[in-house]
Amino acid sequence: MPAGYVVQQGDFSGPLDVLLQLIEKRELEITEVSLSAVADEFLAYAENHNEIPAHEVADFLVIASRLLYLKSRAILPSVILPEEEEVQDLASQLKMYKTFVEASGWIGERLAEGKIAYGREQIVVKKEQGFYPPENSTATQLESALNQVVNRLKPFFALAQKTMQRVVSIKEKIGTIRKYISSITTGTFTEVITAADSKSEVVVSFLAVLELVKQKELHTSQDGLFSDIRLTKTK
Amino acid sequence: MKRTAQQLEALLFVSSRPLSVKRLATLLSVSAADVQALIAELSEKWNQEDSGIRLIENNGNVQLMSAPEHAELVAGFLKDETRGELTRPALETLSIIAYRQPVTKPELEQIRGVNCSLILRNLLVRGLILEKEDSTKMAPVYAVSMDFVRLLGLESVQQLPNFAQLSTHEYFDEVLNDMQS
Repeated sequence: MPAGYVVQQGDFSGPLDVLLQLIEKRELEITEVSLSAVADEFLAYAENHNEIPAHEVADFLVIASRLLYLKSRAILPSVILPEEEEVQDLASQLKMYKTFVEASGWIGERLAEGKIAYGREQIVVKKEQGFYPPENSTATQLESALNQVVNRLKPFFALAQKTMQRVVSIKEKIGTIRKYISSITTGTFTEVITAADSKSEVVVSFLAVLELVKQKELHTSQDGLFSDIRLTKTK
Repeated sequence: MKRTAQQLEALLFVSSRPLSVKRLATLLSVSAADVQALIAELSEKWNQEDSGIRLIENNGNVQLMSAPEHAELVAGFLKDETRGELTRPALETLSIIAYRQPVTKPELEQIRGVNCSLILRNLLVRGLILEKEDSTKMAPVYAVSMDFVRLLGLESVQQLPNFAQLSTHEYFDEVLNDMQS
């Protein structure tokens, strides 16, 4: 790599850009010959520039392999491989790239000039803060609106009622279990729930047992996973 | 000026956003081709040196905007913040899209010889390009936004230098044809 050839990191624009700069530095036309002439420099560049972003390394390798192919053909002109067109490709691709680089120069300058056209601003209507009921609103409409709000709140009240029912039934269950245990001092959870006629009653019974354990009125033990829970009155 | 031309002018005057030719055709109860002709008529009226207003067109959308010659004054009035500069790769990608829109990502990458995903995302975030699903190409295609045209102070991308030549460049078709084969 010749001294003085530095591509600034922010200035970096991919493998074709590097290739173009190598050719332009030598003031060469973009041809098959000039491409193979800078092949070594390109490879050296790709090797020495660790700042090439990871996702672009593959793109560099693609160009590098095409350059190597060009170069091998220049050295061994008698060898004509079937993909003869490939060579023309890289030269025309680079030429096209160059035309767009030039065009982007104009666009960049124009953007920097700040010759901007402005559209109409979004109209923002500012009003004093306050209550502005729609002109066609009536008392009946307000009433029906409020009713809708109330109806929407109903499920919440229903839910609260259910919770209350459960709390009541847990209290009742605690009483039942207390009575049951005091009559026999030890028992099992299965016996407690024999009379249960719903899953939720089983759940409530279980919660009642937990509550009694918490209040240190009951002691529980179990022989193994999923085996029956023994209930013993404490002390 | 015909009545429909006046009506079109009135609609463009009050709109703060680009209006599509399709939408205008519906609003004015005329064909899209008629709208195009009316737009051409209005362009001739507004897009000249002694006018402070420009009719800008991009991808079938039109909007009335201030003349770019008065950017500084208008920017001061609107308190427009200046935007960050574009990197060179971003500018290159943007240029290719401007000249060759609508263009797919593989086509862009074929021209630039490098992966363009990050740059495209950046340009999309800045609102300089738009992404659209193309059912025939089975891939998203990219085109420049109205903002891009506006920021360059152009009336349409056709005003870009060498537009006719670059938008139908022989190398381009050659390179893209190779890609498909």
